[in-house]
Amino acid sequence: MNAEPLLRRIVRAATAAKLEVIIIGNAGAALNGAPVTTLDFDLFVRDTAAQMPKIRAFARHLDATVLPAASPMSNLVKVENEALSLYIDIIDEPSGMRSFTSVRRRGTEVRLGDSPSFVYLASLKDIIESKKKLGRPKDLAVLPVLEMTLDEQTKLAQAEKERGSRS
Amino acid sequence: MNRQNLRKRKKSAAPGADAARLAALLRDTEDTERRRIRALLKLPLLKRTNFLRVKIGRGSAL
Repeated sequence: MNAEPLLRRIVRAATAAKLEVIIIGNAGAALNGAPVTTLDFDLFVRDTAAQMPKIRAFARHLDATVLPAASPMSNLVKVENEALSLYIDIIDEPSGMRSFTSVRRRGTEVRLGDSPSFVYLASLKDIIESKKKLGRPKDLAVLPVLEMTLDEQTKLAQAEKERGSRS
Repeated sequence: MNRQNLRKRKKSAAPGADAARLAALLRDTEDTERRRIRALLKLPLLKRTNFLRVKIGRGSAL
Protein backbone atom coordinates (compact mmCIF):
# COMPACT_ATOMS: atom_id res chain seq x y z
CA MET A 1 0.00 0.00 0.00
CA ASN A 2 1.22 3.48 -0.81
CA ALA A 3 1.96 5.35 2.41
CA GLU A 4 2.11 8.81 0.85
CA PRO A 5 -1.44 9.93 1.80
CA LEU A 6 -0.90 8.79 5.40
CA LEU A 7 2.52 10.38 5.52
CA ARG A 8 1.03 13.67 4.34
CA ARG A 9 -1.62 13.46 7.08
CA ILE A 10 1.04 12.72 9.71
CA VAL A 11 3.16 15.69 8.62
CA ARG A 12 0.16 18.05 8.65
CA ALA A 13 -1.11 16.72 12.01
CA ALA A 14 2.31 16.97 13.69
CA THR A 15 2.75 20.54 12.45
CA ALA A 16 -0.77 21.53 13.52
CA ALA A 17 -0.22 20.01 16.98
CA LYS A 18 3.26 21.62 17.22
CA LEU A 19 4.62 18.15 17.97
CA GLU A 20 8.24 17.78 16.93
CA VAL A 21 8.75 14.23 15.61
CA ILE A 22 11.46 12.24 13.88
CA ILE A 23 10.45 9.29 11.69
CA ILE A 24 12.51 6.24 12.65
CA GLY A 25 12.11 2.45 12.21
CA ASN A 26 11.35 0.72 8.93
CA ALA A 27 9.19 3.58 7.66
CA GLY A 28 12.21 5.84 8.18
CA ALA A 29 14.47 3.32 6.46
CA ALA A 30 12.08 3.08 3.48
CA LEU A 31 11.98 6.88 3.14
CA ASN A 32 15.78 6.75 3.13
CA GLY A 33 15.55 4.48 0.07
CA ALA A 34 15.70 1.00 1.62
CA PRO A 35 13.41 -1.63 0.03
CA VAL A 36 11.74 -2.67 3.29
CA THR A 37 8.11 -2.80 4.39
CA THR A 38 6.28 -2.15 7.65
CA LEU A 39 2.83 -2.06 9.23
CA ASP A 40 3.32 1.11 11.21
CA PHE A 41 5.15 4.39 11.61
CA ASP A 42 7.61 4.79 14.50
CA LEU A 43 8.00 8.36 15.69
CA PHE A 44 10.68 9.64 18.08
CA VAL A 45 9.62 12.54 20.34
CA ARG A 46 11.46 14.32 23.16
CA ASP A 47 9.47 13.13 26.17
CA THR A 48 6.18 11.27 25.81
CA ALA A 49 4.87 12.17 29.29
CA ALA A 50 5.56 15.90 28.89
CA GLN A 51 4.26 15.88 25.32
CA MET A 52 0.95 14.10 26.03
CA PRO A 53 -1.24 17.19 25.38
CA LYS A 54 0.48 17.62 22.00
CA ILE A 55 0.23 13.88 21.28
CA ARG A 56 -3.53 14.04 21.99
CA ALA A 57 -3.86 17.04 19.67
CA PHE A 58 -1.85 15.15 17.02
CA ALA A 59 -4.24 12.18 17.37
CA ARG A 60 -7.30 14.47 17.13
CA HIS A 61 -6.01 15.83 13.80
CA LEU A 62 -5.78 12.23 12.57
CA ASP A 63 -9.19 11.21 14.00
CA ALA A 64 -7.15 8.61 15.85
CA THR A 65 -7.25 7.00 19.28
CA VAL A 66 -4.42 7.36 21.80
CA LEU A 67 -3.51 4.12 23.54
CA PRO A 68 -1.20 4.79 26.47
CA ALA A 69 1.68 2.52 27.38
CA ALA A 70 0.68 -1.01 28.31
CA SER A 71 3.03 -0.98 31.31
CA PRO A 72 4.34 1.79 33.56
CA MET A 73 7.88 0.75 32.57
CA SER A 74 7.26 1.68 28.94
CA ASN A 75 7.05 5.14 27.44
CA LEU A 76 5.50 3.85 24.24
CA VAL A 77 2.25 5.54 23.18
CA LYS A 78 0.19 4.18 20.30
CA VAL A 79 -1.92 6.38 18.04
CA GLU A 80 -4.27 4.42 15.82
CA ASN A 81 -7.01 4.95 13.27
CA GLU A 82 -8.07 1.50 12.08
CA ALA A 83 -10.37 2.85 9.36
CA LEU A 84 -7.32 4.47 7.75
CA SER A 85 -5.02 1.53 8.54
CA LEU A 86 -2.92 4.07 10.40
CA TYR A 87 -0.78 2.70 13.20
CA ILE A 88 1.77 4.94 14.90
CA ASP A 89 4.14 4.10 17.75
CA ILE A 90 5.45 7.15 19.60
CA ILE A 91 8.56 6.64 21.69
CA ASP A 92 11.00 8.90 23.52
CA GLU A 93 13.96 6.59 24.12
CA PRO A 94 14.55 4.44 21.04
CA SER A 95 17.27 1.84 21.57
CA GLY A 96 20.67 2.78 20.25
CA MET A 97 19.72 6.39 19.58
CA ARG A 98 21.28 9.20 21.54
CA SER A 99 19.57 12.51 22.18
CA PHE A 100 16.62 13.74 20.16
CA THR A 101 18.67 16.78 19.15
CA SER A 102 21.60 14.79 17.78
CA VAL A 103 19.34 12.41 15.78
CA ARG A 104 17.44 15.43 14.41
CA ARG A 105 20.69 17.18 13.46
CA ARG A 106 21.87 14.21 11.40
CA GLY A 107 18.43 13.74 9.84
CA THR A 108 16.60 15.53 7.04
CA GLU A 109 13.33 17.42 6.83
CA VAL A 110 10.32 15.80 5.16
CA ARG A 111 8.45 18.72 3.63
CA LEU A 112 5.18 18.77 1.70
CA GLY A 113 6.03 20.95 -1.28
CA ASP A 114 6.14 24.63 -0.38
CA SER A 115 3.90 24.21 2.67
CA PRO A 116 5.39 25.06 6.06
CA SER A 117 4.45 21.57 7.34
CA PHE A 118 7.34 19.25 7.98
CA VAL A 119 8.66 16.47 10.18
CA TYR A 120 12.18 15.09 10.52
CA LEU A 121 13.52 11.85 9.10
CA ALA A 122 16.33 10.07 10.98
CA SER A 123 19.47 9.27 9.01
CA LEU A 124 19.83 5.69 7.82
CA LYS A 125 22.99 5.41 9.92
CA ASP A 126 21.04 6.18 13.11
CA ILE A 127 18.26 3.75 12.14
CA ILE A 128 20.86 1.00 11.55
CA GLU A 129 22.48 1.66 14.94
CA SER A 130 19.08 1.45 16.62
CA LYS A 131 18.22 -1.85 14.92
CA LYS A 132 21.61 -3.31 15.90
CA LYS A 133 20.98 -2.34 19.52
CA LEU A 134 17.41 -3.71 19.50
CA GLY A 135 18.77 -7.00 18.14
CA ARG A 136 15.37 -8.69 17.70
CA PRO A 137 15.25 -11.23 14.84
CA LYS A 138 13.04 -8.89 12.77
CA ASP A 139 15.56 -6.06 13.23
CA LEU A 140 18.59 -8.22 12.40
CA ALA A 141 16.81 -9.62 9.32
CA VAL A 142 16.66 -6.22 7.60
CA LEU A 143 20.21 -5.13 8.54
CA PRO A 144 21.92 -6.46 5.35
CA VAL A 145 19.55 -4.52 3.07
CA LEU A 146 19.86 -1.38 5.23
CA GLU A 147 23.68 -1.63 5.10
CA MET A 148 23.49 -2.09 1.33
CA THR A 149 21.28 1.03 1.04
CA LEU A 150 23.72 3.03 3.16
CA ASP A 151 26.53 1.88 0.89
CA GLU A 152 24.59 2.98 -2.23
CA GLN A 153 23.74 6.32 -0.56
CA THR A 154 27.43 6.88 0.15
CA LYS A 155 28.43 6.01 -3.44
CA LEU A 156 25.75 8.35 -4.80
CA ALA A 157 26.89 11.22 -2.56
CA GLN A 158 30.52 10.59 -3.61
CA ALA A 159 29.58 10.60 -7.32
CA GLU A 160 27.62 13.85 -6.89
CA LYS A 161 30.58 15.42 -5.06
CA GLU A 162 32.93 14.44 -7.88
CA ARG A 163 30.54 15.81 -10.50
CA GLY A 164 30.29 19.06 -8.52
CA SER A 165 34.06 19.47 -8.23
CA ARG A 166 34.50 18.85 -12.01
CA SER A 167 31.95 21.49 -13.06
CA MET B 1 37.93 -46.09 -16.54
CA ASN B 2 35.51 -48.44 -14.87
CA ARG B 3 31.96 -47.52 -13.90
CA GLN B 4 32.79 -47.11 -10.18
CA ASN B 5 35.52 -44.57 -10.88
CA LEU B 6 33.25 -42.64 -13.22
CA ARG B 7 30.58 -42.44 -10.48
CA LYS B 8 33.21 -41.14 -8.02
CA ARG B 9 34.29 -38.40 -10.49
CA LYS B 10 30.70 -37.30 -11.02
CA LYS B 11 30.10 -37.12 -7.25
CA SER B 12 33.22 -35.05 -6.58
CA ALA B 13 32.41 -32.55 -9.37
CA ALA B 14 28.86 -31.88 -8.12
CA PRO B 15 29.55 -29.97 -4.86
CA GLY B 16 31.89 -27.51 -6.61
CA ALA B 17 29.35 -26.85 -9.34
CA ASP B 18 26.59 -26.36 -6.78
CA ALA B 19 28.72 -23.89 -4.82
CA ALA B 20 29.48 -21.94 -8.01
CA ARG B 21 25.78 -21.88 -8.95
CA LEU B 22 24.87 -20.70 -5.45
CA ALA B 23 27.55 -17.98 -5.54
CA ALA B 24 26.26 -16.79 -8.93
CA LEU B 25 22.69 -16.76 -7.60
CA LEU B 26 23.71 -14.74 -4.53
CA ARG B 27 25.64 -12.30 -6.75
CA ASP B 28 22.56 -11.90 -8.98
CA THR B 29 20.34 -11.37 -5.92
CA GLU B 30 22.64 -8.69 -4.54
CA ASP B 31 22.90 -6.98 -7.96
CA THR B 32 19.10 -6.97 -8.27
CA GLU B 33 18.73 -5.59 -4.73
CA ARG B 34 21.29 -2.86 -5.41
CA ARG B 35 19.52 -1.92 -8.68
CA ARG B 36 16.24 -1.64 -6.72
CA ILE B 37 17.93 0.57 -4.12
CA ARG B 38 19.51 2.81 -6.78
CA ALA B 39 16.09 3.20 -8.44
CA LEU B 40 14.53 4.11 -5.08
CA LEU B 41 17.30 6.63 -4.33
CA LYS B 42 16.56 8.40 -7.63
CA LEU B 43 12.96 9.04 -6.50
CA PRO B 44 12.04 12.12 -4.47
CA LEU B 45 11.62 11.28 -0.79
CA LEU B 46 7.81 11.51 -0.86
CA LYS B 47 7.67 8.93 -3.64
CA ARG B 48 9.58 6.25 -1.74
CA THR B 49 6.32 5.33 -0.11
CA ASN B 50 5.32 1.86 -1.28
CA PHE B 51 6.36 0.37 2.04
CA LEU B 52 3.15 -0.06 3.98
CA ARG B 53 1.66 -3.48 4.71
CA VAL B 54 -2.00 -3.65 5.68
CA LYS B 55 -3.32 -5.59 8.65
CA ILE B 56 -5.89 -8.19 7.63
CA GLY B 57 -7.43 -9.91 10.63
CA ARG B 58 -4.60 -11.22 12.76
CA GLY B 59 -2.14 -11.46 9.90
CA SER B 60 -0.84 -8.88 7.49
CA ALA B 61 -0.56 -8.47 3.76
CA LEU B 62 1.00 -6.09 1.31
